[in-house]
Amino acid sequence: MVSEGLPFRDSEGGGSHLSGLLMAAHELKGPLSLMRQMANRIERGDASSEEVRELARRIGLIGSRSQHLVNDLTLSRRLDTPEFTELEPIDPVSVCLEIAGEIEPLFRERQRQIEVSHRRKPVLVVANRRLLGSVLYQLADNALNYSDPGRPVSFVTTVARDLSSVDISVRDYGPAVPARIRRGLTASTNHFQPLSRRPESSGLGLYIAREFADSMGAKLGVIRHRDGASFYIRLRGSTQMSLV
Amino acid sequence: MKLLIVEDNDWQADLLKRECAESGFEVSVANNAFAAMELLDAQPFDVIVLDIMLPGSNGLALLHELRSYPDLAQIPVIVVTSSSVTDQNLAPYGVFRVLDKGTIDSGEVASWARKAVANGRT
Repeated sequence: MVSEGLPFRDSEGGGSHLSGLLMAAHELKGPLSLMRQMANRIERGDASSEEVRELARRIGLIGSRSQHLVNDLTLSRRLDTPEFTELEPIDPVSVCLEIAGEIEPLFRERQRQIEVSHRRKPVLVVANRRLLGSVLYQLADNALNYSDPGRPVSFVTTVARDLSSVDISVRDYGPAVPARIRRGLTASTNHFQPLSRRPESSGLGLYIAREFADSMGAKLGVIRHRDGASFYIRLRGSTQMSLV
Repeated sequence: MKLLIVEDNDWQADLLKRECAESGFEVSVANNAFAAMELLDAQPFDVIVLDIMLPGSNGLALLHELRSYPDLAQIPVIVVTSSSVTDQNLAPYGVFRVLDKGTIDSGEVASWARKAVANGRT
């Protein structure tokens, strides 16, 4: 396994708002192109009524996903407002369940599954519910693109022995990468060419997730496995034992 | 005519597969470069439609690999991508045509695939 933090941020990428805009443009180009192609196919009239329904459903899902990204991008410029600086004790499993439910239609349409599991009764975490939800959505969305059908993406909650921290990880099972190639990839890792970024993506979703994690005093990281990856957020455990 | 689509986005692959099949191609799909090499090892193809951004090993690595085998090097490749590569960037790999996902029209990929196959036969 290869474990690492997520290294990229504006100052490291040479950037600024311009690089953020370029990332956003790149990230949205794929879904917009796909929606346009799907709409063209419907318009041409070659598709059966069943296919038209499927295409319309997919256009809706791509639109929702893109809207989520744009909303989070907007939110990332308002992180200093009281709405988002306020942290509170939160049950992490309930947030995982909520986000899994929200993103499940997208997984289902792509013949994938998402599940929530936790190894022991977790403590509460100190977080902002809206930001934590967005982090988990972005991590799940990232995992969706790199998971094989038939092996579910899992939210896994793990509590540190001393209860001081809680990791919520999103485990995906992608194509197995031969050890030789993994070693090569690992050797070439540096701050500007992050392993944490997946090839299809500009990394905008993970960038946003990191901004939100930073804002909550949490840490984002990734563990590489031979057959996929676990992206995780490490949050402070709350001294409050449970929600009454 | 046998056509191989190498594309990791299932929905994009679905669209391309339907259009190419309607245009008379017998279509196979690989969602990463390793799966593509397995298919290419197992059966002959007349043309490859390739995305550049792939998980595990990208499309450029696959192009490089293809060119190292004399039999596979002859298969024309149409690159369909959202990235900013151009025909000129990929000229050393003998790519027949680079198409931008942002501007392709319905049926355009199949049309270029037919031209590529015809070109290879002349």
